[in-house]
Amino acid sequence: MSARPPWRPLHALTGGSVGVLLAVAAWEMAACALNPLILPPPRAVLAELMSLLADPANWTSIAATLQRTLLGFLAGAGVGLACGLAVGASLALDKLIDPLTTLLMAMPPIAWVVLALIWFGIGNSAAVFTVAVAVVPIVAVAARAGLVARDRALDQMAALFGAGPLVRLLEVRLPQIVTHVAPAAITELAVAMKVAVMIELLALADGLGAALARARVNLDSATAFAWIALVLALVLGLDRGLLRPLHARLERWRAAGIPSPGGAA
Amino acid sequence: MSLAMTGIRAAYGLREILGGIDLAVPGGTIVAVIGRSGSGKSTLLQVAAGLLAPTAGEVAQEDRIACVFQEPRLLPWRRVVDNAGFGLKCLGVGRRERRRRAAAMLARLGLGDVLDAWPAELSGGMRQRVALARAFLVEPRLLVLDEPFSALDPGLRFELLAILRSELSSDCAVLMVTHDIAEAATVADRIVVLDGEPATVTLAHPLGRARQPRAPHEAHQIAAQLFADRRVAAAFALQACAADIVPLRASR
Ligand SMILES: Nc1ncnc2c1ncn2[C@@H]1O[C@H](COP(=O)(O)OP(=O)(O)O)[C@@H](O)[C@H]1O
Ligand SMILES: [Mg+2]
Repeated sequence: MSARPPWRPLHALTGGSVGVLLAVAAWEMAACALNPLILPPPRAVLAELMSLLADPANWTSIAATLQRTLLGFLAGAGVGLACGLAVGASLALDKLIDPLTTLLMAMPPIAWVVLALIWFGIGNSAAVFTVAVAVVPIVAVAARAGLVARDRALDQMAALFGAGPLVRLLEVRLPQIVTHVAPAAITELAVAMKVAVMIELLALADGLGAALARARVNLDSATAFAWIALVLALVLGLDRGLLRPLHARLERWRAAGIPSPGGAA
Repeated sequence: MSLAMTGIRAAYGLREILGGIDLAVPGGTIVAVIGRSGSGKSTLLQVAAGLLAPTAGEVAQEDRIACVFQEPRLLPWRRVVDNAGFGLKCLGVGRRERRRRAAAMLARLGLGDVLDAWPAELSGGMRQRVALARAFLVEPRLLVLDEPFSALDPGLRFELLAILRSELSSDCAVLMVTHDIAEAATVADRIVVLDGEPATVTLAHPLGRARQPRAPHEAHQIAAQLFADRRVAAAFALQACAADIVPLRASR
């Protein structure tokens, strides 16, 4: 069952990052043709990035943005999950909330920024709120879809064995909605980071967004590019380092029973 | 009396499915209800298990109920040993004790090597044995079986019915419904025929106590006898084929 996939030297050599390398090459060529103020070359951005990372003050900015992103994401995902489960369990609640999720999804994040600043003032709470409120509807809709598509025969089985509400939730319902919620959560983590950077850029004094705003004021394009690269790297790191492994672990059972490509199992 | 149903009527919306059913399953006996697909067998089981409220009539059943369905209905995201222990979990048995008892039961059913496998890695017969283990582990006083082995080949089915006979406590009542007369004739002490819209009991045929499952040739002999009865033929919409000969003795 655990036969290894065949060894593909080209894949092993490039680690699947050919796409990124090609993009950097294109960037290098374009930078040669353009004014460095408009498009600084990759080497200059890399050097700038290194010097940014060498300054401990910048690590505080990174930590602030990460904290806002993760707190907002977790709060939004938790509320979204709870809403989706509630709505999927009750038809009346579904009818009540369904149009509300549509409205919530139609709401531009920038509008939430304005409201959050009015309600919470300039600060962390406003940022966390704005991030969370962007995450809630997508996760709720995904959780609801997962619940609607669940295997009702398993509900019946659990009822016959006298399963209590907690056992039903943890053993029967949540595992079934992972398939629907995980892709939504993976997408929404990137959204959470974007929204956090946006509110920082518009209103806050610290964080990656604020640093980006300062680079713009100074017309320092290499620094701006370095901050942008950092934001992308953080999103990529959270995605590949946290969410995807977590998802793979929760859905290990799906891989079982699928014949391995190696053949002899 | 482990299960007693009197004058049971049940309906989905306005459509009545069960039209007044009397059925008793004393502790220690296996009663098989047969009828064609859509005749209301599963509905009857749901009433027996307390999942569906009858519109009329009385049900008195034991409170420790276990069930096995045509499909194993395992949780695909739980390993075999945890699936077998699911019923114990519902009873509040702790994790260690649950795993210990589940492992012992699975070993008795010949699954000692796959405790940590995922259900998807098992064959159909093995999965159904896990479902049986899950049911036996709660030490049921009433076991309801919905076409439990009709998807399996005759050898496997015989093996699992033998396990059913040997692993059950001597006072557990078993209510099995199936469209497969041979399956019913292999283990049942009594066969009850369900027919009509809404369904009623058209025949109740005692077979006597089987200590062991009947061998396939014996079970098929009983099935052949039953099919010769017009009420059984009618229950499977086979009136045209019914020989219209020797009605069954000792029937109601
Ligand atoms: N949940 C339900 N809602 C409405 N009708 C149902 C439901 N379940 C079963 N029925 C109908 O009731 C009849 C009996 O079904 P069932 O008891 O499952 O039959 P069997 O198990 O004998 O095949 C069928 O005609 C079926 O269409
Ligand atoms: Mg059925």
